[in-house]
Amino acid sequence: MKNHELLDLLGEVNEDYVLEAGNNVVKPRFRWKTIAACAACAALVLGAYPVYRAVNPPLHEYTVLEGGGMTTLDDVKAPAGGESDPNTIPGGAYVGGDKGETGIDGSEYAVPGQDAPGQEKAAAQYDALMKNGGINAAAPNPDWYGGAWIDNSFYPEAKLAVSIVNGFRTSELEAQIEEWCGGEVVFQDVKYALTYLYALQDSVVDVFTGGSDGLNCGVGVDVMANCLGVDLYSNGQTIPDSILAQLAKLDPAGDAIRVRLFTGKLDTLTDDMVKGPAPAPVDPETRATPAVTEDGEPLYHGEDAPIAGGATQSQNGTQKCGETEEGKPAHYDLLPLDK
Amino acid sequence: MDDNEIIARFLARDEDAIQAAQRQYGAYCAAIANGILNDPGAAEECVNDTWLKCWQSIPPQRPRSLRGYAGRIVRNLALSVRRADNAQKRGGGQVQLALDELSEVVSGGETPEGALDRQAFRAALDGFLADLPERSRSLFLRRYWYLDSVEQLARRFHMSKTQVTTTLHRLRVKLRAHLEQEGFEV
Repeated sequence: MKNHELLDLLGEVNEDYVLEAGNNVVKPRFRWKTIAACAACAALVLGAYPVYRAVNPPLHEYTVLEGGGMTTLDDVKAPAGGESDPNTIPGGAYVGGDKGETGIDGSEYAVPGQDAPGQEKAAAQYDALMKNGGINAAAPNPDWYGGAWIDNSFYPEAKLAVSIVNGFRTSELEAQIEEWCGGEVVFQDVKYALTYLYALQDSVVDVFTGGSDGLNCGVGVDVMANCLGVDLYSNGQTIPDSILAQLAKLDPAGDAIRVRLFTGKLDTLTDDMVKGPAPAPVDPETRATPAVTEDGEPLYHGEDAPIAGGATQSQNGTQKCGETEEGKPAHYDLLPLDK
Repeated sequence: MDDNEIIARFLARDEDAIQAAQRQYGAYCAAIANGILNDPGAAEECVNDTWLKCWQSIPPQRPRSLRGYAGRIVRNLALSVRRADNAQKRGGGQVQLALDELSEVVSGGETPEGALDRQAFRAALDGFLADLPERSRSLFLRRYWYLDSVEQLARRFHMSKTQVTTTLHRLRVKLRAHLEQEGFEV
């Protein structure tokens, strides 16, 4: 059959089909497959993210610090940063003291080489704040209260610094606080209320109570930094992701908890039970390094001089090979050549 | 004026029937003819000849649809004109392309006189078209009955030209298989 014959015969097909093809207005196809594929992809992406987050929860950031380790308080081992500071007073204040005293991060509260500023007035202001402001350990702190401390950066008289949570600071509140304190104080804006940080502290303690094998920790509110300090002592271990995930959950913004990992080993203490007895002192004479003459030859002063064959011999030549002065076998640094 | 009224005038030998048919289906027929001839002047001649053919054939014919009847006549006339003239002289057009495509379906050999049962072949073609989804059927007929170009089909059916070409190829393969299954040596 020829193609033009087929073309002619196609002209004789059912008229209804021809009219149908001539009449119909073709609407754009509803591309349900494309739309379904896009919807499936979107659902996959949207659904996969929570699954991914469930499998890989966000982890809290932490800082690794070398050293640290433990200290001994009243014959009991305790993390260096976790002990109760005798200068800390209720309400989150910290009273600095001696000249050159350093905080947990090693910074000095007083200017080096200068006497510590007087703190009596600031301490009295603090007491007044506690009393007149109704701030004490027994009752919940006001929402605006972020903590207070004695700021030793002022000289010669330290000042009381009072933190006010963002959004609460008004001139009326400042005036009220200064009235309570009976004088001028320094104000600082902070993000978190002290009450919140204490509640967070309880939650964090629960996390570590729940299981943190191989980790010792110190948890405490750092009023000056307006965060909860969590210092971990790993004994060479890293912080488990499960712990970091829980901390991240408690602190989504990542700035309410400061996590530090001290990598110092626990047995670096002065603990004879752990480390054993101290080594016996070494006679300096026996450890002396030989001097060198002008022509470069070593000059020995009583120590063993090397002799052929690897044995050592006293410089006076009276000693036999293989014997020390005390008649004990000589120490061979090298094997004898004849063997 | 609807189809029945126009056909009734043809049957009544009323010359107004031709003008009425021209008004009603002139543009439709011209589009078919122009699609084949790619020459508006020649297409207009084909349309005029179509009304003449209608005048001559109705009666005794009594078409069910004047649109379909006239469309078939104008298509055949245009194809005849096309064959009579040199294809290049007419500026190419869709006929040659359609013929080239239909060469995939047929062997191109001579069919012995009377060997092809045209009635049965038409029935096979109708059967093939009946089995197709409406969209595919329309696409096929727009290409091989109306001789629309691939570009026109792409616009009409909201498809890309590649999609049109691919779909038509599949339909031709399907047609060949159908005709062979029906016992035709194409």
